[in-house]
Amino acid sequence: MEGYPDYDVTAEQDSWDSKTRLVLERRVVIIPKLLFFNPDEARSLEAAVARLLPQTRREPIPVVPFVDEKLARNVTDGTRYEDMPPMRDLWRLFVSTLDEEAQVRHEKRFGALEPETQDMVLGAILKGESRSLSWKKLPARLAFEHIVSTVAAVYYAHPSAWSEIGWGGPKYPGIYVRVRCGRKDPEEAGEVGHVRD
Amino acid sequence: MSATNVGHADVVIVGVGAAGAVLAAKLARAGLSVVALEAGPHRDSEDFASDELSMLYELFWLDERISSGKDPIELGWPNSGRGVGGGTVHFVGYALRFHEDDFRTKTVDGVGEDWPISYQDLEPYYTEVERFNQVSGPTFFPWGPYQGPFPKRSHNPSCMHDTFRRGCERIGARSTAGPMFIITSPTKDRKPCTYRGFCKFGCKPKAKSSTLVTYVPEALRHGATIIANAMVTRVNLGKTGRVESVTYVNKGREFEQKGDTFILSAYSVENVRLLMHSTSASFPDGLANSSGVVGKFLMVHSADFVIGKYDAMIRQYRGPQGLALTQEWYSRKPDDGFVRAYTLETETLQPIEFSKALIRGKGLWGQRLVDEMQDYNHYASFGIVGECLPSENNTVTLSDELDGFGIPRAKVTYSYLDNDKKVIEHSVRKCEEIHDAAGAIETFQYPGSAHLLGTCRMGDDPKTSVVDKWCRTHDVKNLYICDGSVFTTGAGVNPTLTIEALAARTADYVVETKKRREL
Ligand SMILES: Cc1cc2nc3c(=O)[nH]c(=O)nc-3n(C[C@H](O)[C@H](O)[C@H](O)COP(=O)(O)OP(=O)(O)OC[C@H]3O[C@@H](n4cnc5c(N)ncnc54)[C@H](O)[C@@H]3O)c2cc1C
Ligand code: SF4
Repeated sequence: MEGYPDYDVTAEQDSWDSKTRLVLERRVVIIPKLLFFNPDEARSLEAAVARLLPQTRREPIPVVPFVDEKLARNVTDGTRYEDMPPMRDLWRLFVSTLDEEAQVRHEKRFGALEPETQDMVLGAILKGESRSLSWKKLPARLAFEHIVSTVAAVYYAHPSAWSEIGWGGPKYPGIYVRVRCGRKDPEEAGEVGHVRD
Repeated sequence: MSATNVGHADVVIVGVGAAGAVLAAKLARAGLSVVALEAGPHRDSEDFASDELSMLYELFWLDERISSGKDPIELGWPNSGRGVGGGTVHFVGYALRFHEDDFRTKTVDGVGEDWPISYQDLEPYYTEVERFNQVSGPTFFPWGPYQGPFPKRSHNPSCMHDTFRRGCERIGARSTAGPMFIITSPTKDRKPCTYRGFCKFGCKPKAKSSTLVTYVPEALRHGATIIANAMVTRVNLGKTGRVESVTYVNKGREFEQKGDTFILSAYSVENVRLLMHSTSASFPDGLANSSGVVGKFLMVHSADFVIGKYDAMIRQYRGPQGLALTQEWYSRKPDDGFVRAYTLETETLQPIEFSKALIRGKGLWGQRLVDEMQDYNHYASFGIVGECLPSENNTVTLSDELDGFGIPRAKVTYSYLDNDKKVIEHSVRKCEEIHDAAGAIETFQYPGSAHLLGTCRMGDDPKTSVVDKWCRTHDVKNLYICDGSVFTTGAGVNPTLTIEALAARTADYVVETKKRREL
């Protein structure tokens, strides 16, 4: 399954409703300034995000600024699991654990490690096997899920990511017509190397 | 009290979601003066963006609640709405009736509790709300007490629904296009469904019958006053033992709304928070809580997904977000090793939620996550709605931490019971069988829960329940609680049709009571 190199979901944007266009234009054009993380923290988090969701595109989708914005505004997801710290504390702790762990294991900041080494450090942290005591105390699965899915939510909210996965886009006022198996509307993505829809 | 007094109404309703909107419409139509207070905004459907991320942060109740227990539940995104229309603004729209036995699980299966009402009591109200919502459904519904007809013909299936039904057929299970709160014939101000699977993010064309576009306009037409952004912070008991007023905060100012009859329809967490916070000399443990049952017997539905990967393209983003279902294994009996009920349904996961499914369900991150996301169009998502039995240990209580209004944050404690786990096991296995038969190459499970029910449960005995069979509190004559929180048991279906039917029935009772000048 080889993807959709020729597909650009935004080719249809003139057919989208004005509210949606406004929301998406803002998202693509206005990149929030860092308010929550300091530059050092942001660098470490950038390095981690580049491993959590590796991007090869020439113009990477910005992720950290949007995570920072969520934290600066303290927009929570509605649930705080009992053993978890408040969201902001969790992220600060995650970032400090990245560097602490890199320091203990390799005597470098996280950002200075090779990608494969970063993956090993990250993997250990996400599994709750870090040597940092304060991170170790957290419920590993919940912490992992919060961090990774927050990052993924930013990424998969971006039209370039939609094109990448062949998602049909915000259909309205248009209508999907050919929706049965084996059929598709002309503007939907066709997959390279895939004959049968 | 420094609150500004804003007058008096025959009926004051707290929360304008599924139940609150039905109540407001019917009571106003009957000629009563109605003031309905809603914590969130009153949106115009045109304000919705067709965008998953912004709507996730716009439509849901995201004020933090604390979640604990052995199986702590997720409370924001998959669980409650905020704003006029409440949870119906983001619900998928399955419109399912309870089965007859669902009202008497104790008698029939020796578990849970019997409701003080039967299917027959609710039957005319199911019909009433189906008609008003213009529910679209199949010509023949194969299970339970009601086979149809439904007001409107059902929707056309898309590939994911066909895939589900093909799998069912191959294992010899009946399936159907579900009755849905989604219209199939457009009206003057409601456009047709565009088949873009966005029901959980606000329906811009108004094809989905959320109360925002059905009962709320009806309420306004009949003169009800709906005050948005009005967070009720206290229910005030008068000297006569009747509720005298509620206090609410609007734009930072405090107001006091007086009335004859009060109905709480703020759903299973906020009702409890409000009652527990409204203590007085006669109710030191919370208003209407002489039984000590307020906040107990919280029930969810297990709502795990089983997601299958196919060689062929499914493109699950197309079609209504939900449509195909089966209740082939609805009534389980002791011989099966467990009892009670579940429904299997299709439910579209749009990209962000799908990424979450891979992260939670398969533990993915990094390149593997990106690679699997790349195959998004090859996945089909089937979900369970599994009955969970009531337990005194599953609760909503107050924590020590205050929110922005000075009310303690809710703490929600949840652990599955043994039977609940068996329901999950069985239903997940059936989903896998359906996927396999339909040709899936592999499947994975994405665990989760949905719906919040039962914290102010209904019963005949004032010692073991909070409201009577009319949703009136046993303790306070002019106080009703009417919404998902009064469920005695949860059945194996999505709850909203039943919530609306209960509200329609309670509205008739309130009108009749007023006529008889009982109050
Ligand atoms: C993702 C998702 C999908 C769903 N799909 C389906 C489905 O397919 N079929 C189905 O039957 N059900 C579905 N549901 C469930 C449905 O949303 C709920 O059952 C229903 O909305 C509950 O109705 P209610 O009247 O009890 O409460 P709600 O609709 O939640 O209404 C409560 C209202 O009270 C307001 N409120 C709370 N506290 C206060 C306060 N202190 N002051 C003032 N106002 C307050 C809230 O803002 C809210 O608007 C789904 C739910 C979710 C989350
Ligand atoms: S799929 Fe249909 S009902 Fe659902 S949001 Fe889109 S238009 Fe509305």
